[in-house]
Amino acid sequence: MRTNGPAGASPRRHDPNPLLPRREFQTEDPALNRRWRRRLRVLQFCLLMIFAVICVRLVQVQIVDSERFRKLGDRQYIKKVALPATRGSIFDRNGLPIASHSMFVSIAANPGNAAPDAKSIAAALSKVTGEPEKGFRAKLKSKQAFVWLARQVRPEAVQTYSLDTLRGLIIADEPKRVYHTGNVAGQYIGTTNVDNRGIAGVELAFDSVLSGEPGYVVFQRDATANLMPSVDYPRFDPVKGHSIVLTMDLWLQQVAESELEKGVAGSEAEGGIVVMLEPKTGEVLAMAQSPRVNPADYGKVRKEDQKLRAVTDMFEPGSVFKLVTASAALEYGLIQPGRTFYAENGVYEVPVPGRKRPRVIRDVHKYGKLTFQEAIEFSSNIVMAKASDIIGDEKLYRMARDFGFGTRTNIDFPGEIGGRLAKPADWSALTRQSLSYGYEVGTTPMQIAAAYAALANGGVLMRPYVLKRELDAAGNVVAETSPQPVRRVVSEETARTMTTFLEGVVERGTATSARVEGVRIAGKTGTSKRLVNGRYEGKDYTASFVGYFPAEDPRIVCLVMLDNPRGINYYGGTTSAPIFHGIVERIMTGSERYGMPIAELSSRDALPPSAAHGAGGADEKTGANRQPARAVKLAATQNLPESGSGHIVPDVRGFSIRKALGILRDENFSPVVHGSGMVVSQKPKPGEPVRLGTEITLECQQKTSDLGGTK
Amino acid sequence: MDTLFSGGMGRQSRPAGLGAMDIKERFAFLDPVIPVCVMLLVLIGIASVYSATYDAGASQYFNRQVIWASAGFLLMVAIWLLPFRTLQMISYPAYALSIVMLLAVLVAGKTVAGTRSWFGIGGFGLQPSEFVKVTTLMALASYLSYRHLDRGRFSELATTFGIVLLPFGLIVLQPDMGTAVIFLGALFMILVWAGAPVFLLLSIAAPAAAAVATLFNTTVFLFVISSTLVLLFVMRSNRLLSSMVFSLTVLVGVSVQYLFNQLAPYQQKRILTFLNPDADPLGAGYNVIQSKIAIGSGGIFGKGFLHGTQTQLNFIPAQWTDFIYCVPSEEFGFAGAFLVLALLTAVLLRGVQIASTVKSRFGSLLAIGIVSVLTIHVIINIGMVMGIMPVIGVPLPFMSYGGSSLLTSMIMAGILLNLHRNRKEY
Repeated sequence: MRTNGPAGASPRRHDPNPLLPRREFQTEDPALNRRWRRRLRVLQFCLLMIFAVICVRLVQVQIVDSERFRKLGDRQYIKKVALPATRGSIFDRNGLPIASHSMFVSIAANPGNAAPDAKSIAAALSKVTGEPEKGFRAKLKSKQAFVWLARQVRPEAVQTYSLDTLRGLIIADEPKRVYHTGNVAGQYIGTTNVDNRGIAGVELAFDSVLSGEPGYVVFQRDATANLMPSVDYPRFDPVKGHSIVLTMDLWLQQVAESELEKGVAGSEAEGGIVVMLEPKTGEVLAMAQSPRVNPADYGKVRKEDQKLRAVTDMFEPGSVFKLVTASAALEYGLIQPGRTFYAENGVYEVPVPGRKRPRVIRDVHKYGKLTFQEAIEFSSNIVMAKASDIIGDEKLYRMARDFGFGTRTNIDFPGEIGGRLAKPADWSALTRQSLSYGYEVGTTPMQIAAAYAALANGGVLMRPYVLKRELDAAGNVVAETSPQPVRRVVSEETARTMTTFLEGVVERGTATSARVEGVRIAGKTGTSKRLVNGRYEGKDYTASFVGYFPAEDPRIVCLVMLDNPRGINYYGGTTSAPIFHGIVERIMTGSERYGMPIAELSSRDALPPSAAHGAGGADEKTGANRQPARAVKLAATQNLPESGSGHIVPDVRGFSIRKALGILRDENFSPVVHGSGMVVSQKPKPGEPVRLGTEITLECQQKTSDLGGTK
Repeated sequence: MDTLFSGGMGRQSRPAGLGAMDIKERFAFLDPVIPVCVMLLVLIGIASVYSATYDAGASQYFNRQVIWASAGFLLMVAIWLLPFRTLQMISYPAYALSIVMLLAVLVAGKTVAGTRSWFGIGGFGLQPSEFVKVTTLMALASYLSYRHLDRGRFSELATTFGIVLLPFGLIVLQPDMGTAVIFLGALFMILVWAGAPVFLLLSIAAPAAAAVATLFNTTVFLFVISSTLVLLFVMRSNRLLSSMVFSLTVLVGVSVQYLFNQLAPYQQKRILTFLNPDADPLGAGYNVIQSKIAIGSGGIFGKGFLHGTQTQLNFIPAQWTDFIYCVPSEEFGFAGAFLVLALLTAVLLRGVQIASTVKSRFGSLLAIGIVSVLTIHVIINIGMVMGIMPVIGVPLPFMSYGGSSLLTSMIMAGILLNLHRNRKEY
């Protein structure tokens, strides 16, 4: 057998006795020495190679791929815990708070850790929530590592029942949205979800502005999923959301809503909509909707009632659409106001090419001869149909288009629809005449209101908008919306003539019930049959009235629309016009002086919040029989500067004790009440920056005539 | 001089130099590299155990490891000072005693994690399989010190194999594959060093390589088979023997799948996971992935002592035993990992040097055996921790927590020192 290689040194040459140990270990023989040295070198080389291989691997893992492994590690032991951002507040144009942010706490437990204190926890939480102890005890027996016990309770409860000393409890700050106005403007304001993100209305439309940036802290998580705060990572504080000031006038909104409720009840309608615009700017002053919805109960109402129908729903306008026909006739100089038409005594048979039976157009009342102006005042469909023959398809279509029908108004709400207006090429033989009195066209209430606002604004269509300005967390104005003209629809002269026509509607025509003593009102009624299952038969109507005042210098455009009034009367002139009347009357009497609230709107816009409050106060002094809603005006305009450091005392003077306590508690103050009745003064004064939870003393008196006297 | 056991009276060389001599002579009595490196490794190991089990203060593990290390140090010094021939004289009795202990542990041992390998003595556990490594090496070195394997005598070969396969078999029964593998590796290295014929080595190595190769895939297996064939042809040995070796190789390779099925499920899993650790990230691959994250995230200089997130947040189960290498790698980064590796390599290189300078054949074989065992430990352990070897629970010498392992490592270091001190004895 051969013995090659370093291992196989042949011993026989040197050591003839194989039984004896080999002599390689002796050093006399230089050849053997070399051989041994070689074997040593080979082994050393092997060891160094192993060392080198491991080193290369170490370099690869620890230096080349280090970042990847670091990320893998981070992913498993770093847990980011979000710090919710403070959501911005929503104010009306005068700085009255509509929605604001409040911090609550939610209480959870790790049942395993909570076992020794389970009894005291159940007892304490039962006192906090008013729920029986049993339920809490059952939850604390759960095998899970985490159970919610109470969501969104007042933060004071933690101190009051020393919850923080009980073992196993997890107390988390949780922001909660507080809506100060109850069910006023519910669909308009919308609501937020549990994650504090807007899901409807203004809350959704301006969510990116309101929500701010959530911050986070980093926790370390060990292999058994225990969390502990990490000192290696900085804490990122949340960025507060911006607040927004709406163009809405809370008082007008309340007036519109209460009048609408009254009118809906009186006419036995299924619901209704009121839209109020400032014609000169396009500012939306109010958007009321019936049935109402409270933002806090948003999820509990019908899907239909969650929509802001003034911009999301389409209906056939009926006679209110006659403004398009009349404007086209006048603007193109095709028909003079005094031109007479034969109104066919209420029944007009129009032969339809290709059909045996003629088309029948009817008026509500039988008229013989009517001037064009009278035809508008008495809302004659027959005359409008005849006029449309003179105007022609193209011009009628262009006028409708120019008024904004068939396109979105680009109001700030998501989900707005543009309605439906077919191009003349797609019209049937009947379309032109139908269009002339408001059929075969789909419009939103907002489009109608905006179109009338264009007439009120001397013929220039403005983009309706709801966001007046944006404020940062310190209360500084960061953005302000300026009015945006869309286009000139008709000449000033046409607009003036149209206003005269529309004044006649209210003075002598179909809308005399809208008349208010001492103010010139221009308006138009509309009653349209609803298409139900593809037919116009039945008792489903849309009854509407849209008007503006004062006619000589219009400040408010107001649209009222009712769904399916079921009472004896279903005409716009007898159901919607009276609601309009009620609204205008309240605006007039509520402000004591003619046009006052409107003047106020314009003048107060420019003033800083405190000055605005002063103006409101001066107004109060003159008032004796103010509307209850008016009292809201007293509430803190000083709320505006939500300073980052402290909290601002809200103004609750003029409120009932119950309401005042509600507001103060929502904003985490501790009110103390002296006396009874209405709050007449408070200490600390409104607008003072104080610490959260500060005691606020309220002096109350029975309701007297003069609240202003407390100043 | 040339008779057996004659060296006892053969102390012709003067006692190691204590007088004023050159530097080489000054360290003739004590090799400086091994004690320094071993003590550093033990201290790093203790610190790592401290960090891995740290929980607002020192743990029981740390305290025990300090006690074991102190005992190990005393043992190391004592063995270093043993007279020449003592080791060889006690090798057979020590071997016999350790075999008895292995038998006893199979009968009366504690079962930990599916393996019956522990004696509980007071609060401490003892693993005879660790000590058997040393006694087997001693018996093997003693036996081969006056026999020549290249004469191909069957009885001598059989005895040589028997000395190793007896403890190997008993350890497989526990079952503890990691330790068993080390016996085979060490046997092979000693055979090489003792001058066994190359044909014999090939006939051992080829089937083993075939066995490992089948676990990968057919291509690797075919490569091993064909290289075996080429080597056998080149050697031009006895045709009958050659064809026997070749058929054995093929047979082993083919039957490995069957043997694989005989393994405990956790061992199968470990082998498969080694081939693809990401296949089962929450199960068997978990340790390897976590240890790679620990090592990789350490970067160049690490996260600082007691600041390793993988270590402190307990992502690596029982890290203080087999996965101890993660701790310096994570907390001191590449610098720490490299230092540990360099210290281990220095000890091993020094061991090779001792093996080739020692004059007695027993000493040389024992030294190379110790180096082999330590080397295989280091390769398997660090390879496993870094995901280049399967996870077959083998401790890292001098560093892993555990008394038996630490004592055995330090006994080996003591033997190396003893052999160095007596290197001129013959």
